[in-house]
Amino acid sequence: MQVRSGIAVSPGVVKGPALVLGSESFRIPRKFVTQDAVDAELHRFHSAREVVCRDIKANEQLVSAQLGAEYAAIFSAHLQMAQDPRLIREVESLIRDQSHSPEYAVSRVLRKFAEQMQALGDQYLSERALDIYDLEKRLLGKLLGESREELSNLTEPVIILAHDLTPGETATLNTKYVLGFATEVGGHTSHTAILAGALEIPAIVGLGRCFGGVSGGETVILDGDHGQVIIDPDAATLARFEASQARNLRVIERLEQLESLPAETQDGQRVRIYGNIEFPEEVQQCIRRGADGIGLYRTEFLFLSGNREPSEADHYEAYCRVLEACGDLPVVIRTLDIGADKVPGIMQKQFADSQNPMLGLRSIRLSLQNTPLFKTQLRAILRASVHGNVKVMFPLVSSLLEFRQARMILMDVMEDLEDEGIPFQRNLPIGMMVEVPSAVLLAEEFAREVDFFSIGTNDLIQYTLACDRSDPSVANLYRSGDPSILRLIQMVMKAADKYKKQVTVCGQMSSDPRFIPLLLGLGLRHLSVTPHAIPRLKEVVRNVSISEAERISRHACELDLARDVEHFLLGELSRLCPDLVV
Amino acid sequence: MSDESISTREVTLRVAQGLHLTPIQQLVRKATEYPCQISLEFDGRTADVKSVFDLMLLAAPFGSVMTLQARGSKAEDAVNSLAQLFDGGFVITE
Repeated sequence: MQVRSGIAVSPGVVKGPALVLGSESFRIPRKFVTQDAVDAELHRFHSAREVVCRDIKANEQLVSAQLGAEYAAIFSAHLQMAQDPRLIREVESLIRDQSHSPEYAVSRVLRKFAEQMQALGDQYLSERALDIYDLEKRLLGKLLGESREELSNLTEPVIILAHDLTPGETATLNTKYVLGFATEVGGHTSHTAILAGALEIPAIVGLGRCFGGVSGGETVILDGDHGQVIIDPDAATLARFEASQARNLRVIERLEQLESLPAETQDGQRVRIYGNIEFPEEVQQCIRRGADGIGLYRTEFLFLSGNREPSEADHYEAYCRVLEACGDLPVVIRTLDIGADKVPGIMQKQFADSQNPMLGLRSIRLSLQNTPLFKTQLRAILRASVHGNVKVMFPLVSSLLEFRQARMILMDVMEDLEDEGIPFQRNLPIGMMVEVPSAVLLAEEFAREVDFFSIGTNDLIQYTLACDRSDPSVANLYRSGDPSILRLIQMVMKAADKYKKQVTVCGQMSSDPRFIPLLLGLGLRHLSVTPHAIPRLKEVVRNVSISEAERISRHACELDLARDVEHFLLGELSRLCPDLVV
Repeated sequence: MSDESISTREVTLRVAQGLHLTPIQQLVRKATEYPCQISLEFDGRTADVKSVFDLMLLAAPFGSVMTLQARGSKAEDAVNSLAQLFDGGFVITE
């Protein structure tokens, strides 16, 4: 049995036979061709290249139709590479002048480019080397008349283990047979990881070299929730997996029946569960699972998908797609929530890398310093507001002045629209994320001015415990169950209650079933969560009563260690919903 | 305009991440609209602006001063429209 840990990029636990794709999946049969065959070999190279260009265009359309145009942008770069004049010139010259076979020439030229790219010492450009290997594979596949046929001719379910999967390969994975995949390279933000999440295929990347000894056919357990791959599990591990899988299956079947039922506690308290989304395409997944709306629509992808600031039309179109799919259900649109380094156009302002980006120019601070960019987004939100039930939310507010400035700019934009005779929702609810401890300490003052709060636990925990959870050496300090975090949530609830303002919790804490009774007990009635968690959370809500939840939260708040809180909550969950405890 | 016309212009790269894939895609897309040869010189090296690979291997960081040169028919138009991309920091505005 071999257990390896990597970066979990798409959740789900699956078991199946391994299908290993080596990085050297093509064996080049011959390096040289005879001089009189040069013309024919040149022709072979060009027709292979044309087929590859056609395939890339088809991929682009497929991905665009399935997942949206934002994802398809990856392929237009691939197309330009396949049509690159330098590539064509160098390959032609190797075939003509050195009598190289097209296969060998393509591989030599592209590998040279990739190696040069990796040697530049620029993280971004060295990642592009993967795109070059993708092109090499595609061209060799056509030249040798075999693509990675293992992938296209699947007849039984498999788990793919590969050094790397290209975005092209990921996009065309047959989700009927591919149970999940794990790769040796890659990070959270690689195109492959993003596509896996959107396709909802369990996936792990960045495992490091470890598939060398795996030949294929071995049983593999892939745990996309915890980022673990187990190759050749022993009998005990297998039995544990089977048992939890059988339980999961029963749970899933039962949970599916909950989709049409309301999230209502045993004593009849209705709880609203909303979805957190990043792309308009995800709305359907929320609605299908019975979401009460969208509690957090992150708009960052609009800014990240190209090297340009999104136009008002880009914003408007995306918002309208979400609103249309939601009907009367509420949609909370959060304004830009990233750092200056990620936003095109104003990137020039970032002359040096910030020493401490999480405490730097990001989020609402960035919007307030770049009013044209902020106003463009607000105009689009306001224009879209007549098409549905829209609320606007400002992220990372740390002082009252910031909130007032943001609201003032929103009012300015309203005035502009009014002057221009463009319709919008005048009484659009305006809320803020509570994710900085200062906002909690001043919650009463904020509660007088905002229409609603949304507690972003991820950042709140990070800022309160001064701990970056992506840093493995301190990740153990990052605890949702820390008594300080519970205390902060209590403070927000108290302030909101006094001024009768709605509070939602939208961080990862609210997607974790263990914390649901606690949050209900603390008075939360609105939760916004990752779409796939909705049915499980509904199950918890339907199995607890408010009085019970209050007892649980009272006890949890008396404990003084995160570990004890989390342990206690796990115990309570296993009593309430034994099925949900794995 | 004669086929031998040459047009040259100095440009500054104002993209924080340097000359990476997205600005490169814009340059290549624009350059291939013109029949002339177009090159970009930086740090003693010259890249074909119609080649993604050439441009990537320049590895030009933020603030790089580079020379854009076109040779052949419509050389001046080509240099002007490519320089516009640099001037605008590769931000497309509609």
